[in-house]
Amino acid sequence: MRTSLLKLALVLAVAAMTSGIPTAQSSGGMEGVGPSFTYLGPLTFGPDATLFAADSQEVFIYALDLGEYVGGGTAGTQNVPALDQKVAALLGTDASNLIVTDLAVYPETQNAFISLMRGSGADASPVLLRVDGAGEITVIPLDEVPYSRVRLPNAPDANTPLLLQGGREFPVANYPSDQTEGGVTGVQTITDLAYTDGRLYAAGLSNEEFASKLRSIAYPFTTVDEGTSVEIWHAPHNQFETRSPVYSFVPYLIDNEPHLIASYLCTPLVKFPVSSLTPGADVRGVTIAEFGNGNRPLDMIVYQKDGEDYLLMSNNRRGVMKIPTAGFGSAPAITEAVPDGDTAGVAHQLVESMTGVVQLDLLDDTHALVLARSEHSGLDLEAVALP
Amino acid sequence: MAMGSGSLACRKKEGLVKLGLVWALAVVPACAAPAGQHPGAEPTASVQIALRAPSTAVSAPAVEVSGLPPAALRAVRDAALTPEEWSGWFRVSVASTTEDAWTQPGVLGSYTVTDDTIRFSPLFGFDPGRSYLVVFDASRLPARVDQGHHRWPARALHATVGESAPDPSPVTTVLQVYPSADVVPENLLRLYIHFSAPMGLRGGLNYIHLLDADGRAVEDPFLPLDVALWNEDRTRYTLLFDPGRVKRGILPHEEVGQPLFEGRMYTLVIDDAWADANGRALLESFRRAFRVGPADHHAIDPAGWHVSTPGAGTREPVVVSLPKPLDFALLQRAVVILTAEDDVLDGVVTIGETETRWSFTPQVVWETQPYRVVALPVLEDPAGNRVGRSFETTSSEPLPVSAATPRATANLSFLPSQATH
Repeated sequence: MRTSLLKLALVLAVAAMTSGIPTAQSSGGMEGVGPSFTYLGPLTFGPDATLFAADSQEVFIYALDLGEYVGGGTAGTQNVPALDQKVAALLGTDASNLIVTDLAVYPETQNAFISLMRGSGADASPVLLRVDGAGEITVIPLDEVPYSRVRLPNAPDANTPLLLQGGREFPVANYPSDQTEGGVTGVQTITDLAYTDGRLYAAGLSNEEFASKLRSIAYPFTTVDEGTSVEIWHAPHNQFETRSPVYSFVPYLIDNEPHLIASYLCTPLVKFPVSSLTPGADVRGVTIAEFGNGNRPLDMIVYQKDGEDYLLMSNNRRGVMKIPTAGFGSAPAITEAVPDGDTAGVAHQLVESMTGVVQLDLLDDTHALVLARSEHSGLDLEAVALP
Repeated sequence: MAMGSGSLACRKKEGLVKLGLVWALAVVPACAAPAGQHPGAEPTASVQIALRAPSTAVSAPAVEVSGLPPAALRAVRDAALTPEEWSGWFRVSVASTTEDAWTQPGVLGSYTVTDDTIRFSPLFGFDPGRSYLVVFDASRLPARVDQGHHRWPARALHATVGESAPDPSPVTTVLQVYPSADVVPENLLRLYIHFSAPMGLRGGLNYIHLLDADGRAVEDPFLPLDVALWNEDRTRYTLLFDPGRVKRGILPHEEVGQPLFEGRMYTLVIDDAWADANGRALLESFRRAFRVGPADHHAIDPAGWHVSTPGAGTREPVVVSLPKPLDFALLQRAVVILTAEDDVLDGVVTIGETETRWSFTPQVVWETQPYRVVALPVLEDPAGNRVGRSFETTSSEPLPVSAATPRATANLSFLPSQATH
């Protein structure tokens, strides 16, 4: 049950997000046991059996302490055909009543953790599953899991500072609460998470404004540093550019400098150095590839094979793409549209052996773990050799 | 075996037994596939399997097996069975046959033994309207359970239970689609669909179609997302046109072109199959025809806004007339009135005239002092153009002032009139 206070908090949060003000003040740093997800969304593992899990609707990121739940199973992974039907049977429902939202491999045991929603109506429940090396499916008792969490966008100031003509600046109180009536508050949905070197990165998508904000958050979550927000710009195409939301991304070292390789809603693949993600910065990502119509990237992983690094990207239209990363450092920015042909920029190849992939994570040095939709059996959990 | 006359054992006794909001088929012993006999077991005609409605004893519907002898209940309670052992002989399943019920995974849940029943409580509840097959076969009890002289049912029992389906009568409707004007820009980026009641979690891509003037579906006009852009209570859905097709000069636009063309008519169709929060379809499909006007690549320019002059001492609305429609949602939170003391004034915002009219009724009367209309930097029009910056800009333009120092992007002032009203 939501209160008007929560609505107000959402509005305030949106106010801070839209004003682009990095805010250190906090209502966050909250800890507890038994997170309550409205919509359990993207997952990524952090240090010490910490599973970061986003509540895409309430716009919290939880750091779930899975210490008690990562052990006890058989190490490794096992292919589970029609996983969705088996899960549906365990949960007492039909596979069509499940919304699978993400897959993450716990690197220490190589067990799969899968987030989903059971049901899609008012009584929908979040479910976190572990699938172990014997194919056994365990429901993680979320109500017993310790967590800390942080709200995105960051806890806002009570005021929005405005700079008026003549250089005068003054604080403007955020919006009157009665403007929240009628469900018109903006909400940001978290679309991807990645953790590297003590920081969690989160991409989000607003249901109102189109602006892009990628957030970098120090972990452990603290009350004094809940991260920064930046605007991402992608390189010009045919002299046109615009803000475009980052949808998914993966951390990657280019010439020993930490970068994020990110995909935008409108399909270009860009790179930008992590060091550019400073509070309030406007960052222009360099476009290194374009994938054409409808190729919205879903998941990305980086792996090494035969001494070369590759990016593997699942995609809603064309299947899985393999992209050598050797040229990323030197790739020239794409500055002109390619009128014909499928792609531009860094070369890539379609991986014919991987079809129907809806979730993808790195399993080990030589395999990816995927959830793939097959015509005959439903949603299969499958370890696939890295191409 | 001594199957006493009058036993339920082979007399099919079906029919719904209403139990408040839940129903159960009365127990139906499995005549076709008799389970193994227990030494000393006798038929137990009084054993019942039923779905129990929530009460002081159970907070949610639970399957209960009643009519078992106290000694049997004690024996199974004393055995402290593991969940796997429980489901090995007493299982609730979504399977359709008893054979499948024993070979497919059972529903996860907890088992408790009370003074007169054995109870199964599912981990996630039962779906209203769904049938669950309960199988109960004492011959499968773990060997360590004391099975002597407890009069366990001699045969496997099964029953179908479930909660009543909710009233399927649809009630939810599409109230409005924004932009609400009959003409939209060719580079339209975003639509809002408002519903009369909360919807389910699923997004609308499978239910929303864009038809051209000949009734043919426009191919992939909308952005396919695996997240759904709902507002907080899921009464408003945000639908984005694929920005890769709207934006000029990038591959999707070059490959398949823009989704909308100036001068043509289109119809937005929303199927009634889209489920609301109660799983019900919409009351009716929704259709909205519109015409496409020229693309709008112009930044929002507040200098072109006209601000009315309300009367001092009144709570007359101040009306801002906009030369072009702006984003319906953002208008409600990204335009504010400042007092001479730089406070944001409390009041009620109303958007009208196809999003070209923003009016604000203050909570307190206007004073004879200058007020200012301020547009926050986030304000957009339906094509994504912002204040002072169009959606698409040439690369030669500098990046805007850092987001860390947002500017007041409109600074129109008005002085309430002192005329008598």
